[in-house]
Amino acid sequence: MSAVDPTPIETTAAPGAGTWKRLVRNRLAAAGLVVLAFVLLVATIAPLLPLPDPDTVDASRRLEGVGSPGAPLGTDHLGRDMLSRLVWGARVSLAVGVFATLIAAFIGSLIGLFAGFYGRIVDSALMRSVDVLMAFPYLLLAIGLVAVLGPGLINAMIAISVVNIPFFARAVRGATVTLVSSEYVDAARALAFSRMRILFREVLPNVLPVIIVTMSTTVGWMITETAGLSFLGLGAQPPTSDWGTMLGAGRDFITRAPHVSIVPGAAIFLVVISLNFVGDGLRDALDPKLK
Amino acid sequence: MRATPVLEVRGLEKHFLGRRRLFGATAPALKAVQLVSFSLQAGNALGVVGESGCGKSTLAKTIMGLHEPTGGEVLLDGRDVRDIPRKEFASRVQFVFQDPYSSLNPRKTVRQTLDAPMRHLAGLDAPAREERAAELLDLVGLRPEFAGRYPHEFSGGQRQRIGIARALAASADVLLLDEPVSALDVSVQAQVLNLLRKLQRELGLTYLFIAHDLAVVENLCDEVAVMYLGRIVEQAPREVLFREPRHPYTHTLLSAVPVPGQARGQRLRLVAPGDASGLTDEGVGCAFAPRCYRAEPRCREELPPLDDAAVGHPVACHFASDTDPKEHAG
Repeated sequence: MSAVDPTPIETTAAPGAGTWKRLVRNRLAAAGLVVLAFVLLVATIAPLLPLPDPDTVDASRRLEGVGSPGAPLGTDHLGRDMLSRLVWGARVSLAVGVFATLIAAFIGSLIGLFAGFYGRIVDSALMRSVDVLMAFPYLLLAIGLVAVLGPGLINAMIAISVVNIPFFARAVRGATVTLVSSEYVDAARALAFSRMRILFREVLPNVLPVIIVTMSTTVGWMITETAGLSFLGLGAQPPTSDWGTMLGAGRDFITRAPHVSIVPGAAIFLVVISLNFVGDGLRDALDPKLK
Repeated sequence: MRATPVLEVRGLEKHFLGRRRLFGATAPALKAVQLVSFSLQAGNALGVVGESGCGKSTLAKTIMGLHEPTGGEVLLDGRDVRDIPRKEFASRVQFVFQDPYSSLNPRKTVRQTLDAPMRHLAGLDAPAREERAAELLDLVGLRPEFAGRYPHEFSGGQRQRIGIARALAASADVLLLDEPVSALDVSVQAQVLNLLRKLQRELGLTYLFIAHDLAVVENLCDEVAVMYLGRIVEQAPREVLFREPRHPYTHTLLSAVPVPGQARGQRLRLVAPGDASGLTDEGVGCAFAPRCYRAEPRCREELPPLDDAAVGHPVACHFASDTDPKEHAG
């Protein structure tokens, strides 16, 4: 028990700068950041790279293996260059995964925050609506939404966002409910803070880790869920390809030419695991207790 | 006639409605605070004591407005608090919480915790807040360089000092202290109590001090109210209450306070069997009767009024004027 004298602690820097420093000090998170930065960079400058056209079919070069001359990652069943398709597919997959996650996280977190904060009828109304969403098998719901909106990448993205709202809403509501009854929220009420101020300044920062971790796991699902829709012909329309479509296309040749599915699969794996490392790192970096 | 009390509570009631069950009737309401009245003069300290669950914390939170009162009224300087804007009330009356761990936002530095009320309630500009923050930390005995630290970097006693600084940040003059030291180690308790006494002297603060420990109250309070199952059963100036307790419950509580230099067997130890359960049970008689050494059939039928006719200070007991309650003890 230290009565009055504090244990000596290094002086604290400004929160913003400290968060970044703590994030990159975490090796896994730093590695994840490097991978993500590389993928993002490559996807962004894809038009400038000396790559063959990803949609050019060459029947004479079908299913060539990894390391073939002129096709470092081989070719698919239509003789298209895998590396080029991977790079161009990254643009689609990352855009869909990230935007769908942001949309789902934004709407889902707001629902969860309001439900947990206001309780009673607001809680019941919001969470029962979310339960309705959850009651559908996710793919069925996504297909239903796409059927209404029409096929296409943007609509697939919207459908995937809606399907993932419940995960955010439930996780955030759970965290909010426990925080709302904490005494520092009572203290904020005693200081006559407005409800919005309490919700967004006192509660939200403490719910943020939950949102971040849920987001980092969700991006991966999103990419594969979009793949599912694309596979059913409801997502990316040919010849546009995202990683999910490529993965699905390789299914028929899994024994003869495994690289057609392994290459996009490995790319998804790499991005998802990097996101998870960064997400965990960010959660810890944002926690003042773990400085 | 005394001046207008800074804080007055008239017939305050707080009932928690029972949950409605899926089938059948609603569970009975929990009457946590029943017809509590008192008034507090500026610069005074009123202690409210009672065992766990007697409604004393609920009383403080209801006065603060954290619970909506079921009935009665709270007056600040003679004005009904319902007519006072929330911000104005909050800048006059503040709360210090029992648990110094959960009452500070873990993601805010001390400076941020203190900053919000200064800007929001007092409307100070940045340089003024800077100055005031340093002043507040000094006032509660914390070093100025602590301002940038997070709550988990502090001990319980230091956190409670931060809680007190937060309550004072907007220049409140009435503090509702909800067992502010009961979560602390005994040695730290004394330091925080000394701080509270110093602040009261220097700033002329008015305290409503909730405690379950008479010894803590004895040090700080001018007047003491004893609560049992939601009601005040006795209220008197500190010396009177400690010298001549009139209510059997007060007497029982006092007999539990250890006296230095007196061995256990040397003094009378009154014990109230059972505990203060059954708050929902709306009996007709005195709530303490089932545990009272003095109880007679009348006690179970007739609720003794809280009045000062018998002994000069308010007591809710049919036998308040009995000379020495000890002779009835087993």
